[in-house]
Amino acid sequence: MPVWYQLNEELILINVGVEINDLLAQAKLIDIARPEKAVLLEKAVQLADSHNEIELGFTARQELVRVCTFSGHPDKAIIAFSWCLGQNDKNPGRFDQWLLVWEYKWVVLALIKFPQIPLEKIAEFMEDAGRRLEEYEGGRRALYQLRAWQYQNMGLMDEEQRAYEEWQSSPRGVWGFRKGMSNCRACEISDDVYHHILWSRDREAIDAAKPLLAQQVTCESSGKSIFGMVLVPLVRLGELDKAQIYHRTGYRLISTNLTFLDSVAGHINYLTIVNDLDKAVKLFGKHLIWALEAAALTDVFEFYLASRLLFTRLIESRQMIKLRLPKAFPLYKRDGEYDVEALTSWFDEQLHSIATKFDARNKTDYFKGRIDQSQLQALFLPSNEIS
Amino acid sequence: MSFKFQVNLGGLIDLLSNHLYTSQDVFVRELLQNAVDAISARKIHEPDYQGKIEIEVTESRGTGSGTLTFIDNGVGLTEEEVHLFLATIGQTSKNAEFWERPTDFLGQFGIGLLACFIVADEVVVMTRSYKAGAPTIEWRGNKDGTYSIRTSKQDIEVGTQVYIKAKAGCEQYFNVAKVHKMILHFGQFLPYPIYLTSGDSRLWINEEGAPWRQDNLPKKDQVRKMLDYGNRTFGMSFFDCIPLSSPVGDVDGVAYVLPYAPSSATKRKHRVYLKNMLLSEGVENLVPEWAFFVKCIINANDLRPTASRESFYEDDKLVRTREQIGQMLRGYLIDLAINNPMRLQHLIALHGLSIKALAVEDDEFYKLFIKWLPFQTSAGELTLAQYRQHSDVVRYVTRVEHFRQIAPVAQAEGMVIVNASYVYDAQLMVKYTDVFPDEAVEKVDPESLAHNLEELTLDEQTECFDFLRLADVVLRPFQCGADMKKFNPEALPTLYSNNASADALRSIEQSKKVSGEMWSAILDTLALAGAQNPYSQLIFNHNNALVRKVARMKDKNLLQRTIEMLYVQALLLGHHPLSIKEMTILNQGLLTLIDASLVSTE
Repeated sequence: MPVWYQLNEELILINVGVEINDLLAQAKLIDIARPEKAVLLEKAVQLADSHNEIELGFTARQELVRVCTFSGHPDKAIIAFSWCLGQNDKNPGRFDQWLLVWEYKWVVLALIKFPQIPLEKIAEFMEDAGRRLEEYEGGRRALYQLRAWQYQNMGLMDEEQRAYEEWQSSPRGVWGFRKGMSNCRACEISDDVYHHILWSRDREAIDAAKPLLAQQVTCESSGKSIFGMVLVPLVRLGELDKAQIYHRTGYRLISTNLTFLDSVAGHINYLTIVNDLDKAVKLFGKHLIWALEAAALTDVFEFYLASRLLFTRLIESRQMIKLRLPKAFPLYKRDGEYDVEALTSWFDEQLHSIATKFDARNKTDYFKGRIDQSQLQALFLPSNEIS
Repeated sequence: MSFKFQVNLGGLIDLLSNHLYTSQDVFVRELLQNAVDAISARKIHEPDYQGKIEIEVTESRGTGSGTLTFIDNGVGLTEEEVHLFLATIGQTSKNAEFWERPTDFLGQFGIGLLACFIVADEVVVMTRSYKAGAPTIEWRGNKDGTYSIRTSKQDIEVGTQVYIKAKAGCEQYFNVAKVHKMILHFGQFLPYPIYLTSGDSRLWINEEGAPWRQDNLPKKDQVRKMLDYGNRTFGMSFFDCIPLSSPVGDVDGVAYVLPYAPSSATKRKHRVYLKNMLLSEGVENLVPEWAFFVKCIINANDLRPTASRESFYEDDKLVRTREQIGQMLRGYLIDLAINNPMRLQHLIALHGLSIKALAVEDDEFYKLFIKWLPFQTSAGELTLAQYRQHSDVVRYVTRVEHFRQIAPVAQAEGMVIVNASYVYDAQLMVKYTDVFPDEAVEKVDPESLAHNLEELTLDEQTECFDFLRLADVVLRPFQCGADMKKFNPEALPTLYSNNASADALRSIEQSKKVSGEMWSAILDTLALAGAQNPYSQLIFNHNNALVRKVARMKDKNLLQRTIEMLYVQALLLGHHPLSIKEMTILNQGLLTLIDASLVSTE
């Protein structure tokens, strides 16, 4: 339906459907890591809502869920998704199910990243997601997978092991657009790698990661984030040459997308441990703004953990450091002169505050434990001759 | 005990021709590759050896089936080698010890010949090794996997000759024009002369060589040659061309500047040759991502392609090669900036986005280019240099809604505002003070603008007190507060300021309406986390005659309707979509006004 707006004394005829599709098309032309992409989609959503265009609102939001999930804005993904799910349940049979159910997997994982969302709610959604996944494809593999992810995130090792075994022993479904609910091969490999790392099985993790590291298998997410994951294990195994190559290859792949904040943390950890502090500081300065803007506190936690390790190392050699940090940083200084100890304790405070929130929600002390563990790691950092 | 797989050759060929190779004409590539490898191998022993490749087509019009002969004067093969390479599929001669420099050779002799069965039922190979006294060997391979081998009495020149005859349905590959085209497609840049013979004509078809390797020509002619080649190959007149070379990866080639503005998200596909043989027309990862304004033809001698042939392995060498290519493109732009600013402006008009993408990444480049880059402002499109003539401080907004709200006010107040809601613009603005510490940049939104507007006098404040108190109450359900200031233009009754968290809150409200109880609680917790100042603000303009009149109105009911209408009008001005509640207001407001006017006319 055409609508007339009055703007600057000019009458402009706007056909809402055309305008929304135009916004969607424009968004398509923009790289997923660019914030402008989501802005255009949000505009399409607003416009669709204001004219009660449910179908278009649904399409625009589904794309928004995808874009937000893979550009580091899980909060926005949840908000857009809940609308789609609501519309879908109100209007059975009206919308395509594959993408909706597939996106449910992302959203449940996104929920875990917000400590203010209670465990019971997460469990409730996980059951709901599992039920829909089962209805779509048959089998509970995807549900076990979601559970394993959840337990990994909370550090519940025994539960993780059980869910992981159930997941691995369930028959594998189909992967593909509009086909099944199984993850792509690259993501499955990456899951294995993460599982081994969690259980401190460095050798197994590296072996499992080989097809991804050799780029025989790849994808847009796991194919890129794998590198940050394996660096520290490689150093522990003494394979420094490989670690260096994978750092250089891998960092470039993730350096422009906020969704890889936790991967950046992996790279900073690596650089700190091998004592390439100049480069570690550079990465820190470049990506701090991401951590300040990120909604997913789990990722922020990883970044702060890496930052604190870095500054703990820096204290040994200097008191002050010159850095160009974003204005949004609470300790921001115009002259760029920062006290290393003050930075260290700021990150320490932030870490404890985040850990307290997650541990209270999860009813574990996993996050607190991660901080202590990292402190321990700092004590045993290899001496300078390594570089 | 171990067993051997039984491989069905017929099935394998079918697999090759119909599934593995995207196009059937790859047999030409494989034959060319074998010839090149054989010549390269011979050059190891005789560095000054002049290799050449002869290709002969015989079209027999009557039966429709033609024959094709590929002749090289390379190393040739001994009988033992024939058994080893031609008869064992998958055995490639590059593993053989006598070819000691494996990276010099790409070919896979075994697989290469196998590809011939895509278009022929029988393949005949005559070959004589360069080794002293070696006889001519004749090998006949059949599509069913059998072959025969014998010593021929006929003494051919040292080298290898391959004969194939079109099988039914494949005649089109044995036509001279088609063969000519296929050879140029794969092998026009190969370093050895290729002659194509048909009947009485014999042509040296790759005489021209690579258009970017014409060092003997004057520079102007080199450019013309490259542009001409680009035009013939891609069917468009490019804006310009940039020769490329990189010692890392042993790369050379040419980058064509596109004559139109491409999208930043489509991955640009480049035509890439590996050791001068066409690898793919769709390689993506050899050129830096920001450089989406060029289409390249590149030859690489020392990079490793992935199995798909669509990209190279992301290794250190590739990273450094890509950096080198980036440096050359950057150098071209800088050269334009210094020597031909007019042409640079043309280029920016087409490819401003690509240049902005680089400026975001690269401080030095930013320093040099930012003054040339165009931005949309409240005074039309201006480059940053032009903008700075208007204003000491660079003021920008990051959202187009804000721009719509602020532009008229800014204009009336004599301010120029940059609309940095386009891709890269906000980042470029933030970077301005980073790169030029003496310059001032200020992010503006309706809220910060309102802060700087003229306050009412105490008397005026008293006068408007009741009005504003009522407005606050009326607007509360919309998460909006009221204020009154003085600003220009007078014609503008209100300024609506909403911040990002107000926007987020709006989308949460929309979701809550449909998502049911289960999600409501979740959405609420998200709303709380993001809510620093979820309230938007409606600022009435005391300079506006209508507003002053409304502020004096006594009829509370009518006043409420009017406030609501002004609110909705402000939303419409900023192109904010209306919720159902707001839509209802619009309707009810109109009704009230109509009622009121009816009452007064009765």
